[in-house]
Amino acid sequence: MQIIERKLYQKNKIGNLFVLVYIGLNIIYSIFNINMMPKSTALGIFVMSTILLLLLGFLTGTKLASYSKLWSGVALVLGLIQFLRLTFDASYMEADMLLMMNVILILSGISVIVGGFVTFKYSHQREQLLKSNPEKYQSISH
Amino acid sequence: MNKQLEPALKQQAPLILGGTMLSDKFTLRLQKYLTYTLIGTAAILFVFALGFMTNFYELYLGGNADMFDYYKRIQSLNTVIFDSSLYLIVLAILHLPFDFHKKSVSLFGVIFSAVTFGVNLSNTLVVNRLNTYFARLHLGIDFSGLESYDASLLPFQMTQIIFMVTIAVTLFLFVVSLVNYIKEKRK
Repeated sequence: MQIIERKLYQKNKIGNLFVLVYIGLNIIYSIFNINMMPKSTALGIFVMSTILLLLLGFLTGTKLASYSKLWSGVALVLGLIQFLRLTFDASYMEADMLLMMNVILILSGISVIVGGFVTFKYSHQREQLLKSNPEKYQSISH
Repeated sequence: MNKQLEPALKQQAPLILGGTMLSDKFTLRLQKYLTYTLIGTAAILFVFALGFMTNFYELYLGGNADMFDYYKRIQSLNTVIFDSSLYLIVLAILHLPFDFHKKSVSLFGVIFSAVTFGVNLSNTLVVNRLNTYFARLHLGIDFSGLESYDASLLPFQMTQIIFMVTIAVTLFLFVVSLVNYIKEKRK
């Protein structure tokens, strides 16, 4: 019980770390992909959507640090987007490069989903503890 | 009057106050619906794979040498789509013996749904590579000589969209079954 009780006061560092790994891998993917893409409107859309995903990833990381259940669902959606990006047109890449890029995408997707899942578990435990003894933990906000 | 009502209120109180029980039911219901959605999606993909070549028969019947060559080469895409649809429909129907549509599953069932997701993902990567290649090749051929042929990229886009849906459904089913497994274990 002590381990869970510590979580009432500490930030959720593990969930935040998983999302930071997602952001780092996403940045690496974007740098290599923009280098290879042909000049078209797809390039502009890719750059702007990357900026949006990075912003959303940062917000998710900070929210997961404070045990938000709703935003762990957002983390799941972010992971799903990474997996759906595997089905987009990447015929401009070499075969060796494509394998590496796919591995990066899959790793980042798995990372952010695991982060959301771990956070969901911890925040569930935390809520149960707060409910079990409301008078003792009165000063802690939900 | 109050004494008569008291036991009834006591019985109803946990239902009103407790949120965990309802949320348990919600994830179980979600797992049930996702299982049937997966089987339905797999069936749609199977039917789509059977009818995929119908879009290109006109190239075989009335096209020139280039189109005939394209028709012969696109058989490889057809084979890959049909194989992956067979894999998916067999794996989706095998979810029923694990009771995915009834209750939270065992650890072996969770691993099975993870395997389904992985197999479908690796199949999708192969299909997508060939799909984008043939879509690009399709743009390079001049179809103006054929009157009855509608030269659109719709079959390729439909392939991409159906495989995206299968990835989403298998991923959500894996996560939801894992959540249900952990909830069941804690009890």
